[in-house]
Order: sequence, then structure tokens, then C-alpha cells
Amino acid sequence: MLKKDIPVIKYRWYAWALAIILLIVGVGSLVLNGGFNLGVDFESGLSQRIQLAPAGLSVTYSGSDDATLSIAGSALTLEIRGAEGVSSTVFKSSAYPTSADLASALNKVGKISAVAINGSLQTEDLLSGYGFPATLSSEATELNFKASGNTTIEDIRVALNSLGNVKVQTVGATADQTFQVRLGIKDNDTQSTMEEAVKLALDAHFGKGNVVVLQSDYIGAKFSASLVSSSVLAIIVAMALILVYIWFRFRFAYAVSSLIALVHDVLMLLGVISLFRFEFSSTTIAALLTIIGYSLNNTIVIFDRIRENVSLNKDASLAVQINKSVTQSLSRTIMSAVTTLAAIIPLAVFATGDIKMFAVNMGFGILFGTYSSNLLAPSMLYWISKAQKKANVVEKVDQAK
Amino acid sequence: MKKRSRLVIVLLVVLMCGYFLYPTFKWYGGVPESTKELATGSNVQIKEYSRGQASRDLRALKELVAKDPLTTLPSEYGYLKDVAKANYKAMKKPVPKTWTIEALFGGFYNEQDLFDSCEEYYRTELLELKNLSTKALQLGLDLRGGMSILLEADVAAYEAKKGASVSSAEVTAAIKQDIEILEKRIDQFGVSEPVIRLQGTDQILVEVPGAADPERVNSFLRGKGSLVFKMVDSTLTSELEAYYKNNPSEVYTDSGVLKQPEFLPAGKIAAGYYVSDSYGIDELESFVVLEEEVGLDGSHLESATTGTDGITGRPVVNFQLDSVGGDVFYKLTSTHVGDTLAVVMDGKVKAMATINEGIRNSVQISGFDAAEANDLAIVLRTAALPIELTVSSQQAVGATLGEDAVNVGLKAIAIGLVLVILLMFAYYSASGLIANLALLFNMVIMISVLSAFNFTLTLTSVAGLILTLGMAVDTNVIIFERIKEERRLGKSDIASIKAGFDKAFWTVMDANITTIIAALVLSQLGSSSVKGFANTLAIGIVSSVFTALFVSHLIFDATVADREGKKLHISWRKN
Repeated sequence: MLKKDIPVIKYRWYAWALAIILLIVGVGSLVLNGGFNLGVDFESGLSQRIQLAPAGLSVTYSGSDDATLSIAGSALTLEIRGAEGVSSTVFKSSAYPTSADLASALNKVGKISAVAINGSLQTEDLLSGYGFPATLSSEATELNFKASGNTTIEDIRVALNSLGNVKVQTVGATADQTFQVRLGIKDNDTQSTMEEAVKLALDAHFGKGNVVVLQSDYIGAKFSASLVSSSVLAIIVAMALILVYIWFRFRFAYAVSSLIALVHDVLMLLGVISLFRFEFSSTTIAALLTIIGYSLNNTIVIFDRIRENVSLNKDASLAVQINKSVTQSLSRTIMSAVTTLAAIIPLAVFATGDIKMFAVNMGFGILFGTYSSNLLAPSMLYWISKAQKKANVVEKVDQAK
Repeated sequence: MKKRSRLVIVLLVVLMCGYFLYPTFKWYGGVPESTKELATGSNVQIKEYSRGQASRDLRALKELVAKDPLTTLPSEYGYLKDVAKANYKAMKKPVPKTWTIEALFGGFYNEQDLFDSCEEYYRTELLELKNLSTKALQLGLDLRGGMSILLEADVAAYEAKKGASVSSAEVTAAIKQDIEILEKRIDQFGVSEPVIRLQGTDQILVEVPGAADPERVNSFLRGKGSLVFKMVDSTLTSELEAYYKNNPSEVYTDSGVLKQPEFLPAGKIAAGYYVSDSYGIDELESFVVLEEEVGLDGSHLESATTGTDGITGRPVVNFQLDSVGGDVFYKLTSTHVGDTLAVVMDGKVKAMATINEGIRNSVQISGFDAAEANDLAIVLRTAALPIELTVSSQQAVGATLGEDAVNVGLKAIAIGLVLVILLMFAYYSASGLIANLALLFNMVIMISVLSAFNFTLTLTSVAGLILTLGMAVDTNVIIFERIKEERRLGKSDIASIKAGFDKAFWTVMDANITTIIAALVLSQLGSSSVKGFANTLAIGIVSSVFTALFVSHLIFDATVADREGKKLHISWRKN
């Protein structure tokens, strides 16, 4: 318990000045960067996560049945379905530690021929990418193995240069040799022609079959357009409903102040996303809405306290009441922010891709939300209440509860 | 609220959680991986598997009885005893005391009866597991690998084909037919059953778990079903029927596929005649011997409709062939008047009809009820989709990436949970432990509600779960801070607990209702990946309010309020 109340109202101009300066920085970066770094779901096109992994084994099948290879954990499974039924053979890494062992074991199966391209690769490093379980045919199916390498993001850019405007990002540590590649749709492109083009370009640069596609997302133009409109709609509808609820539970001045605080949170987070060139995807929308919920939660706890204090002591000035309420709620504010951050940070550290970005955005959002609920929303409430008094609106103490 | 009613409600929730979590525990804890794969396969695969197992068991039993009828029954066939016992009783014969192979055979009417019992055993086992899997919490495609494709009706091409503009209702009707056809094609598709459903008015969402092989999926979506017309050899068909009847163990191979008997001459093949049963699985009706040579390929089919015969009023199926197909079909039918023609889909005979005269382009088949006619029309239509589909969006995740994602998710949850638990204990001392208990209970409630509503657990819902971890303790924090304040005012422990809960109630409600508004809007308007997150968040908010107001309150009452002289520990400091 603090001995003295925090003078929130006294420093209101400084708090708002800081917010406005940061906001201008955000808008500036948005203008300089020429918009957001839109994710694949908002910008139609193809997004693939690729990993450089040498092909260690090439398998062909000359029979007429349906033969498939699948990889689960560190075991390779061969399944042949035909008129005589299904036969399934599992090659575990404990029994067949290297690709050379796998090749000789596979060769013993009828109509299958396997060639070890690099016999020393470890079975436990087998990668099961997009395309598995693979259907075997007379055309060679290549099996890839995780391996260390020193391919850089520049190499990938060079390899894909012929495809025009391609965005490349590194995923995880350099040792993972994993990259995210994105390209937009040109005329007459379909998902299969684009996938083919990327594959050909990578094969040409890194040798055939040395790149594994871990994930492949294709978003058509119409889909991304509907996503933008539905996301904007979601944010507006959520804000409107929340405004109505607070208006109903508190008073108009409270509703407007908390809404202004929310607009601040959303704009600040957008500023950060623009400033650091974070990718704007549909999980960003999820983060924005969660922050709206979180910051509002904070604001309401404080407003609830202000309302209670005002009704308990009708003589004290609003500024004193606000300062007192913010101070009384302080330890809760801190605990809430700290526990939520504690849950979010491991996700930001360990996860990759959209989920990592979600956690990072949430982290920033919690900071902005805490700032706005403690400093901006109460001072806004102070201003609006004063303005209402000036306009001769009789200030009636809320009697709710 | 009275303490007792609060306790009753908490106990009821505990029971409910147990009920909904049981299948998930059993599925992930007790079922071996290979069996899981079998049980999540299509009904047809389950059938193939059980038939194969039954054939194997029957053959083995026959070998045993031929060797020495008095050997005791090996334990792996023990499952047959119960059926045999029941049969002995039904035959009004004494039930044997010791189970030898001979005694077991005596308990069955004939070999077919024994085979059916074996098959039923394997089938029931797998179907029960399949049922279990639908109740267990399933991982989404992004966590176990798979492919999700959003297809959109190609309206322009459809209009061009029709030569007129079409209304959106017509497009929806056509796309529903597409879905029916795609569902029929599932059979020919890989291991797990894909989910196919209508989205909006003109889109189809296809989700294929496990197999992210684009070639397979494309052949499934675009490829025409292998539909052919073949002539039936009626003499050999009756011979085959007789042979199978006498040798039930020789019908299927171990993997449940029809065995080709050796007496069939080259150029003839045995096939099953299947009729869809009420569950939509193809039920084997009888066996047919077909000419191996294809009479007419299904690609010549232009359209197929159902109708009723003007004279008899019986349902008929009409289909149109293109001009090349018409010529081939006329040659075939005019030389085989009086013979039977079979419609073969993926190696299974779906319909048979006697040829009355030479037929050219426009064909009419009759001889079945309305449902069968509709079924056959769908089969015939699989040769081409009524409305072409284009890929609107596609997401494919390889199994390795999915596995990594699961590991990352579990790790993040574990670390987050430990951090939050430590923080709460460090700040609130013994009371922090109460909040932690409520938090753990909250996780259990969330997972059981997710299983109860059959939500799939995706990467975004894991994020929602983790976020709720942090927010769930918040409700407890609000209450605890209030209790501390009341105590600072000099109230007794019991009074401050009561005042704390009472005063914090509306704060908690207001704060959480606004968050739930955001979550619900998101779950209604968000994209599919965001929806998973929003649903988890909404469930998490409700259950965190419940655990704080009911569970924490109950523990406080039980540990402090009800015991005289027991002190409240809500901080490490004196006050």
C-alpha cells in the first residue's frame, strides 16, 4: 500500500503527450514503409515454408499397385495396397540407422528399387514435408534428411529471383535452414503452377530434391478481400457492443473514455506492427481484439473503483477520487500484467510463425493496455466530466448498485 | 449463495468434466498408435480389416481342427467362446466344460456362422474405438499435419455450360451435388476420412487429416471416379456363388480384399455387388463374375438423372452418353441382348441391369427403389461434377511441422503454468495456492468443454489456452486484493473474505463480460483459424469466473471461515 496516491490527474498532459508522440512515430513509420507488411491471408498469393535438407534416398516403384511411403516420428512406413490386400512394413531408425540401411532394406521389397544418394544420413533425421505420405511411381520419390548447412536468406532470394517479387524470411535458428517464402499471384497463376514454379527455381539452384516444403498455403484473391472486410467488421462490432455495455452499466462519460483508451491501444499496436515490420495476418486481428478485451478489463476495474469511491464520498474532488482509485487498483494491475506476461512470454520465445507474432503483439498490447487504463482513460474521464459540468449537465452521482 | 449449494455445483462440474474427459484420456492413453490409425479409417477400411482378420482366424482354426480336434482352444480365439456358449444353449445342447477346437466348432451352425462371428468381433471392437475417437479431443490439421482446401464454384464456367445466367440458389444446389459426389469418392481415398462441408453459398471446405499429398487430394477432387460398364458372365457367377458358399474362409485375403478363385479363366474377374446400407456404407449383396475387358468407359457419360417410369410408376435412372460413347454402347448392347450389364465403380459392382435391346445415347435403367435409384444416379454423376471447382485457398502442413508445433505448444503451456503458479505463490502465499488450484481446475474444465463440444485443438486454440492461463488468475487477483484491503481496514479474516468476494463480484463480472463480448464477436466474424482462438478464450473466461467465484470461495470458506482460530495467509508480509 502506497502512502500517497499517484498524481494521475496532475501528470495527465505528460501522459497524453507521450502517447501522441508515439502515435505520430507509428503513423510516420506507416507512411515511410508504405503500409503494413501484409501476411499471406491478407495478400493473395502463395506462402511456403521450406527447409533445405539433402535428398538421401531415391525410391521408385514399378508395380501397378498403390504404394505409399509415410514418415512418422523417426520411422519410415511402406504400404502397398493392391488386389491382394494391404501390406505394410515399418523401418525403424533403431534397426536401420542410416539411409544406406534403408536403401538396402527397401530393395528387398518386390518391385521397389531404392538408391542411396547419400548413404551416411541418419534415419532419425527423416523429414516428412508437404507431399507425404508419398505415392510411389516409376518417377523417383526423394526422401530428405535434416542436415546442417550454411544457406542464407540471400541464397534463397537469388534462387527465386526469376519469379519476380518474392519475400523471404528466416524461420527459427540459422541451423534449422528453414525459410518462409512468399509470392503474389500474377495473371493466370493457379496454386499448382505457382508451387511448380517455386519448386523448379529451388531445384535449379540447390540441386533437384534438396528442398523440402514443410507447409504450403495458397490464398486466392477473393478470399483475402473477404478476410479484410470481415476483420474490420469484427473490430467495429466488438467496440460498439462494448460501448453499449459500459454505457448501460456505468455512464456515458465512462463509456467514451474507455473507448478512447481502446482506440489508443489499437493504434499503438498498429504503430508497433508497422515500425518493426511485423507481419499483419489474421492472428494479428486476434491479438488486437484480445488486447481490446484485456485493456478494457483493466480500465473497468479502475472505473469500477472510481464509481465506488465517488458514491462513498461525494464531497471529494473528482481528481482526488481518480488518483485514489488508480492507486488502490495498482497492485492488481501489476499482478494481472505480470501473470499474463508470464504465460505469454514462453510462447513468444519457443513458438514460430503466426503464433510467435501473436504472443509478441500480445506482449506489447499488455504494456499499452496497462498504460492507457491507468493514465489515459482516467484523465479522459476527468476531462469529459468537467466538460459535462460546464455544459450545465447536472452531475448526478451514479447510484447503481 | 449457500455454501452447500456451491459445493453441490462444484461437485457436479467435477463429475461432468470427468465424463467428458474420459474418452480423451482413454484415446490418448490406452489405444496403440496402429489401432488408432485403423479406427480413424473409413468404415469401408474397417470392414476390409475385420473381414481379413476373420478369414485369417477361420483358416487358422480349420488348420488346427484338421491337425488335432482335441487341442485346447488357444487363448487368442477365446473371444468366440461366448458366442459358442449362447449357440449351444440355443441348440439345447449341453455347454462343453473344456473348450477344445472341436467343442468350439460344435458351437456354430456352420462355417459361415463362425466367420460372421469372427468378423463381428473385430468390427465391433474397431467401431467402438471409432466412436471413442469422435468423443475425444482431436488435434487440428495444423498440429497433426494435413491439408485444408477451400474450393469455390466456378460460376462463370457453369453459366457458359448452361448458356444462361444462374441464380445463387442454383449454384448452391449444384454445389451440394458436388459435395454428395465428393463424399462418395471418399472410399477411394487414403487413410483418414476427410471432412467435406458447405461453406457460405458457393464454397466447399475439404479437410484431409494426415495425408498432405497434393497429388492424391487433387485426384480426389478433380479426378473422375473410375466408373466403367462391364458385361456379367452369369454361368460363372452362379458357380462362384456356390464356391464361396462352401468355402467361407476362401472369400477374402488377410487384408479383407476379395480373393480371386483359381478356377476363373483368364479375362474374367470376381467382384462384389454392393448396395448402400442405411449407414451409407456399401453392403455386400452378392458376388458377380465380370468380363475383365471394359465395355464402356464412364468418361463418356454426360448427365444422369432420376425419374419415374411413365407406365409402371417405378423409379428409373436416365443417363446421356456423348456421341462416341453412344456408338460404343450401341455396339455393346446390340450384341448382348438378354445379357446383364454391370455398372462398376472403383472395382465394385453398383448396379446391374438386363439388356432388352440395343441402346444408343439415351439410357434408362430400372429395377430398384427410389433411394437406390438416387444412389446410382450419384454414382453415375461422379464421372463429372455438376459444377466445376476452383481452389480459393489451400493450407497444407507436413507431419513433422505439426509434431514440432505440438511439442512447442506443450512446452509453452508447461513453462507458462509453472511461472504463473510460482508468481501467485510468491505474492499471495497460501492463498496463492488456492488460486493455483482454481487455475488447474480451470484448465481441466476448458479441455473437457473443448472435448464436449467436439472442437478440434488447433495451434490458435492452444494460444487461447495459454492466454487464459494468465487471465484466469486475474479474477482471483481482483478478489484477493479486495480481501487484503478489507483486512487493512481492520476487519476479521472471515469478514474480510466475505466482503472481498461481495465487493469484487461486479468488478469481476463487468471486466469479464466485456472481454467475452470481444471473444464472441471474434468467434462469429473471424476467419476459421481465429475462431478456434476465440472459442477457447470464451470458454476460458467463463470457466475462470466460475472457478474464482465458486472453487476459490469454497476453499476459503473451508480453510478459514469454518475453522475458528485459523489464520488467513494472503501475503508474506504481516499486513
